[in-house]
Amino acid sequence: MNPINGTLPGSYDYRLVALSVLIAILASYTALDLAGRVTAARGWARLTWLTGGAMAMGLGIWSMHYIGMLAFSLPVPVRYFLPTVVMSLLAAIFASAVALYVVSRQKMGPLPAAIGSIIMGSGIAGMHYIGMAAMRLSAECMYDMRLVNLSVVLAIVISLVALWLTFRFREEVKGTGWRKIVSALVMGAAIPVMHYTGMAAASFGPSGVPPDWSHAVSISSLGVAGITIVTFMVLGLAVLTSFLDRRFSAQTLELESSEARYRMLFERSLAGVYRITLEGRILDCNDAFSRIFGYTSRAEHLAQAADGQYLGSADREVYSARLREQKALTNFERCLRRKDGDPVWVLENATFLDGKNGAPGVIEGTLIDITERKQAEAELEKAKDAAESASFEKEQMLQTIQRSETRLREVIESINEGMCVVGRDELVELWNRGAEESLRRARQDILGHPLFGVFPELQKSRLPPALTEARRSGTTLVLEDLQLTLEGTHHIFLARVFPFEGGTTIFFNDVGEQKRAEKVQAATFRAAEAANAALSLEDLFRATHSIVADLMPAKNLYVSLYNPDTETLSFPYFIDEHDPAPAPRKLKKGLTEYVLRTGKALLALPEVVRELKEKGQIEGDGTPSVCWLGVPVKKGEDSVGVLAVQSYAESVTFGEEEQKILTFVAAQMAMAIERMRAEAELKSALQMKSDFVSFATHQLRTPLAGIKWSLELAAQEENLSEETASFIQDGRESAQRLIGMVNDLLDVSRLESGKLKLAPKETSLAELTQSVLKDVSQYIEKQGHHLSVSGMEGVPPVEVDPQLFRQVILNMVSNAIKYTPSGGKIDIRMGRENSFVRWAITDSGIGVPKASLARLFEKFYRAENVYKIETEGTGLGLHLVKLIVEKSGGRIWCESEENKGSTFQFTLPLGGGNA
Amino acid sequence: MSMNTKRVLLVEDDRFLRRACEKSLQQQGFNVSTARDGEEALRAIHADPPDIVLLDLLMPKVSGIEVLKDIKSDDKTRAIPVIILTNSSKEADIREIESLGVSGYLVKANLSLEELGSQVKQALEG
Repeated sequence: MNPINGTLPGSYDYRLVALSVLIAILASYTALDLAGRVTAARGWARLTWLTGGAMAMGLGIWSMHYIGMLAFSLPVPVRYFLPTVVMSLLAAIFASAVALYVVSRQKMGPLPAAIGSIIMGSGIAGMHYIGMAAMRLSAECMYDMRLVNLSVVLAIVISLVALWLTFRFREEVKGTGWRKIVSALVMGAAIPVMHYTGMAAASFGPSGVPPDWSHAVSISSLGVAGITIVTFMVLGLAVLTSFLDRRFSAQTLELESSEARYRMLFERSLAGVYRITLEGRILDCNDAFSRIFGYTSRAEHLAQAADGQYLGSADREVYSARLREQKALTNFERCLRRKDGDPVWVLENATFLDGKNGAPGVIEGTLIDITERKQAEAELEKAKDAAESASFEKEQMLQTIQRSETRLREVIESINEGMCVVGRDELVELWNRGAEESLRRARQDILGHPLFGVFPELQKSRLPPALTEARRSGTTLVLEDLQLTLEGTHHIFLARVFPFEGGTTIFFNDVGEQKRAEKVQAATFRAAEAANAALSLEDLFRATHSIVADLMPAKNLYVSLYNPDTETLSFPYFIDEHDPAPAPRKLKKGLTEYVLRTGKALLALPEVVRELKEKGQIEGDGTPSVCWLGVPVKKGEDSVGVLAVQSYAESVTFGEEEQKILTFVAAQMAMAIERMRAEAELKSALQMKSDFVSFATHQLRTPLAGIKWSLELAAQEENLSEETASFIQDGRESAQRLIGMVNDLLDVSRLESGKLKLAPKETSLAELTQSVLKDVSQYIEKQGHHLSVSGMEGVPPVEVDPQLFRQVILNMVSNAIKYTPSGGKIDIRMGRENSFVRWAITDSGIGVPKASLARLFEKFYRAENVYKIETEGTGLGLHLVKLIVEKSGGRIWCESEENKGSTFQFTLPLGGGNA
Repeated sequence: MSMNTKRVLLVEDDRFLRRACEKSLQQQGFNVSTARDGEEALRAIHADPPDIVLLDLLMPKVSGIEVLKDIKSDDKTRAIPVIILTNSSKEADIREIESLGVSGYLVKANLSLEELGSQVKQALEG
């Protein structure tokens, strides 16, 4: 054994020292690198990385130690006890695992860092000293405890630094950053520092004890090479794996970050971004999307939006279909609804993503609000439309105007009314066919000329002042009778003057041709009516004047009548603005006398008057008129008077038309005069008749009464011979019959003239009949007639004049007795029928011939066959009966067959009916 | 009072009628005086008022209506009954006469003398 105080000199192989340092750096780098991987990894990957990392790192540290040990050479052979060597390796791996675990955590507080570094440092130190303990050599190892402690502290401090650096730089994404390299260098330097400090703490003294060589190995230079190579390989493999894994992870990270960026874009984008199902359910969207639809935020939108709202538009079908077919839509425009229902126009790009594994497809898209643009476009469109339609309307209007202008031309040409347009320069601009025809002027003579310049007739008329007035007042003016003589014919126009901006329009309506005909017709009718209605000549003349004045200017009108007995001409009607009515005069040589003499109408224009004067037919009379028109008033062929109108004004002239009218009126007047004369005669005749009847009846009755009374007295004489007495009786009967006739005549006359008033009172026809039958019973008996009367009980009373009805019944009963041969049948029936009472008498007499039936009730008429029975009779009886019945409101009629008999019956209304 | 004492004034211008009428009334027991016209009638009436007047209407000088008016306008004669005895049937006359008040209006041609007597009796009694 070596003396104890002796120290074995140790030396270092510096190449191996450098190698150990290099291995340390490499191991550090590996550790750093792996720490990042462990951090990034999760689950099994993390455990794998942790385990693998720890082994690689532990191996690195361990091999660095043994390389360092090999670098230290002692003068004695050194061997290493294998189990301890393995234990030291495990210690290194354990320390590495702790380190990796600590640095791979999300956070590293001071306490975990301290604990981790202590464990790691202890592990490394443990590994070192265990490794030292594995040495088998024939020397004694002694430790300087201060240095040992220093080495342990260094191990811990270095571990702390290493952990800190590793933690700090593990995030370095890039494969090899300069920070990682620097920290690897620091760590790689620190670990040998700790190793060599530990080595320095150990000193070897010689020992006589032979080393236990069992299970001890010698580390040859070949072994060093093997350890180095294996370490490098392991570390390199670890780094490579880490690198590859990091590349892969980097891709993942890149992906993750692009997702984040996408999310950021998604959320911050001003465009609306959405993800929806094909059915329109919103899966996700951004705030912008929600804002476009009127929601304040995405959250509100997702919470509130009804399913399908997004696609709820008319374009939905197009949108969905196109997306299904083409998978994508670009710059698709459509109109959607906002939350408040307002339309919102969007421009969108969308993609349809097929669902995987049967999941429904999803549409992803972006959209921007183009509502304003759309509105602007719409406005523009509208404006364009408006402009287009305006121009279209204008076009149409122009066409319409052209059409209506053409039509207007046609209308203007088609109307019969004359139409004339005069410009401001007084030149005629329009002269239609109506004007050509009614005013007798061709347009080529008028158009472009001053109207009054080429139309003197118009200039003389009332038109020029009317035109001036219409233009001055600016209002329409109507000239009701514009008198014009055109080509020798007199015309009356209704002229209407319409002033307008560019001139004046004048319408000429020839009322002489159209309305005038109606007017004339109406007036002539009135003339006829007036002629019939006039009660006096004065009436007639006045009415005539008024009618004539309606048809022509007849301010001055007179009627003269000629009395052939006195040979005087009188003027019973004379209206004149210059002359007073002339006194009745003997005929002289006036126009009136000329017409009377010739019996023909005369239109006396100045030239005609001149001519007649020259011929000596007439002489001047009264104020000379401009125009005089006279027509004869004729009775048959004789002229009995003259009707004349005259005018003193230049503008008023008469023509053929006036002559016709006046002739007609004069004829009516003549008829009226004649009628009045006849009426007057008739009236006096009627008066005479009436007077005569009254007179005659009175004058007849008085002597008749004388005869009657005288015979009455005579009949009372005593001692009359029978024959004388019978003569007196005959006389009395004759007188009585004559008195009856006179009375009948008087009654008829008075009933007809209305002088006899009926005095109706409630009367029983039954009683009247009985009374009459009592008076005539002797007569009936004498004739041997069979009489039957029926219905007397049931007949109601009637309102009639009883005295007159007694006459009616007497008359009819008498007739039946008289006109029925002896031994005949007389049947009287009476009774009520509805609202009437009927009274009838039927006889089996000679009857009434058919020819006589109709005239039976006429005055003085007697049936043809009555003369067989008697010749006397006035023919007044039935007439009187009819008058009385009818004046009482009843009817009377006769039904008869000649030689068989007659039935006379009358009906009377019940309850009065006195007409 | 017996009818015999009754004095009838017959006013009638026709002499045949006057004669027949006077004779008949006398036969029937009346005291008859006659007048030929209105003038005579008025004189007779005022001189010695009769019990009854039979008055014709159409008469010369003064008409029957004038006479009637006179009778009716005088208090002394107003009460004397008057029977109009005429052949006239003028409505206007009849109305005026009725308004003045008469005891009868008889048409001569339709009247027998016998009937006249009974009418006079009736008027005197009535």
